[in-house]
Amino acid sequence: MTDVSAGADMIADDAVPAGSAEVLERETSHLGPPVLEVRDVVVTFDTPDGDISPVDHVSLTINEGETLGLVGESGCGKSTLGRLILQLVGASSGTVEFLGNDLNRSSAARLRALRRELQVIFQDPRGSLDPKMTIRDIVAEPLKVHRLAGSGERDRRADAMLEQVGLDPSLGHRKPGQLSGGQQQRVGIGRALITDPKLVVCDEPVSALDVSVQSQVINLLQDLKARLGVAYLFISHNLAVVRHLSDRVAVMYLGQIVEQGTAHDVFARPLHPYSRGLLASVLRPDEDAPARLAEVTRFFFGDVPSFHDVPTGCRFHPRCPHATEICRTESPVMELARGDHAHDHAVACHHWAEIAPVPATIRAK
Amino acid sequence: MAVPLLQVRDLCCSFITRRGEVKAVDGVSFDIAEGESLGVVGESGSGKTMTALSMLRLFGPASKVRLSGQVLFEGRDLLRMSHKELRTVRGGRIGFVFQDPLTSLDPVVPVADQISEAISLHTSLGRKGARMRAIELMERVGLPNAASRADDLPNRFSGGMRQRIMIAIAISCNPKLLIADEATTALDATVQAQVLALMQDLRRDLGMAMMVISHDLGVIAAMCDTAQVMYAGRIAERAPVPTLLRSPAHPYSEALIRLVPKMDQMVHHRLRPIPGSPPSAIGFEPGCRFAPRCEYRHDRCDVMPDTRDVGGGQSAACWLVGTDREIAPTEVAS
Repeated sequence: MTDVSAGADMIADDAVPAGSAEVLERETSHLGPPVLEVRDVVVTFDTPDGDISPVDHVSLTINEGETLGLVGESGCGKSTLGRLILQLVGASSGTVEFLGNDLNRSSAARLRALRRELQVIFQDPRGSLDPKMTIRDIVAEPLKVHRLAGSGERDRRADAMLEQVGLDPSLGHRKPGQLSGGQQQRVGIGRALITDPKLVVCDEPVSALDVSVQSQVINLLQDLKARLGVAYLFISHNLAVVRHLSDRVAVMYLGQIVEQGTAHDVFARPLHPYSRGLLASVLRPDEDAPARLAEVTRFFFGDVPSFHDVPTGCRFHPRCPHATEICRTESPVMELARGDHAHDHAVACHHWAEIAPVPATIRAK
Repeated sequence: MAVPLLQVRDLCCSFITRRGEVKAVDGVSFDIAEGESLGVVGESGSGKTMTALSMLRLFGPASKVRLSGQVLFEGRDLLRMSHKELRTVRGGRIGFVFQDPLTSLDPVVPVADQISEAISLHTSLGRKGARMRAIELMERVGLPNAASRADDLPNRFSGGMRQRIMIAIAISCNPKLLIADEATTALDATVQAQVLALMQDLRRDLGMAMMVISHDLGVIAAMCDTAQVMYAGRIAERAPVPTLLRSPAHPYSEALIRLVPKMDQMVHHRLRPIPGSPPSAIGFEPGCRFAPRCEYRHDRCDVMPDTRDVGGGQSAACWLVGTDREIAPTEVAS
């Protein structure tokens, strides 16, 4: 543990190593001003078996109108990171800056005002909608909470929003239980977007939906982004969906970001052995699929370790086919991928530069 | 030609509910050859799982199920067998793995005992022999330190490990056919890939045939020789997997392939969802069940099409087959 924090502390130091959040921010300035900056954040939970840190020295930036895909396996801390950004859990260290406001230091009134700009879409649409409310009232509720409109105006705007998310306003009097899963998720999306937020945290928003409904919701999220200029933090374990929707991607493993860059760079030229393993295990419907599956154990092995028993050095080393002595003892620092044509492709691995590129059958074209 | 391992003929399965008869499986016929891996793909409610449950008659005693047709396995009809006989086939010659390993395993029985129970039921091995075989199987499915973990309860294992235990139970009696119903759907991608790789390995080693049921075309592409696309209780298309992916013959297969996001697709490429939703299984309209959502729909679709042979092992239940109006090739295989 001490190694890890020592390594990550360097990022916060004045002598900024290449690839830190600040360098990345400068390099990606063409994407518009940042709406969210997470700097060196730690979230610690105290459990009966001791403290765990599902978010452990994480830094990331989301620019205006941009979609950042956050990928990783279940239990890697990606949902906790989402909840931290929403201020549903607190940070034990580090800062979360949203539209220039440090959320840890903002007053309750300021936070309330900022919440209107920061919304969320959950995975389980049924569980996140009040079963006793009509869907018009559900979509209108944020306007009421934030006192943005009187009751007549609220209904009018809710109906307009229902239409934007592809629901006929004549359904407005229905309860969530009378809708299909896809329609329920549209209600959740409408509720998130009605206050015209700058950032929406989408936590596995399509994972519970059947494939044909999934594609409709993906298209809807894309359309709304184009129309409203909202930024998304898109949390998902489904790499193909993330590839499809994201401008940039961050790969998370056991509480830390191990690689980030444009979606194209990360999927066409994954550098971290874990990203390579994730990409290799995507089952793609094509003729190379059997060959790819036969090769998959070359990229990683075993299951994700527990937060109660975080490996020393690089956290991925027990599963990594490229691990050497240094990986067991020293935690790698995020650095820019030198020699890469991209400007903001960063990776935290001792050996990324020596590892042969992934075979053509695995990388995304 | 040798007789196929499994021949399903005109299998129908319906439930009697207060609202009427629900036709979950409606006239399904297919074969699985020795050692063949057949994938069954379709959306929720298409009848994939019900086909497998009907084949093995895995319904609770109280459920009001009407089954008809034939399920010939090694020459014997599973639908007309006594329950006693059927029990020797289930878990013996036919193994199965379902989606949720936590509810399929008994939470208060050590894992090795659960595996040896299956072995004792179907073989003449004694208690000690069955336990040794159980530990051997735990090693075979890639559980580290099998001997020392044999007496652990299921909750001591991760989801992936539990699914490996389910696989150990399923293969404990060297089945000729393994049915895997969404066996890896609940697992994380990296764990799913490792479990599927194990299943491929076992299939090769044991010479088993497989029936892989999944909503995920990627799983089917990685695991199967042949694929069968189901829609509203019927088989829409059957084809060798590469053929299906390259040139689907049924408009539903084409739409299904097209609507999933692909790793190789340009970012911000637009998906093409299928309009509408599947029909209710209570009182189907006559005619092709996909017609209301089909972009190639024409007058003949008011009559239910037969399964028509395309050639090269491909067949589809669509009037388009054999006409010169071909389905445009999809972008998936490139």
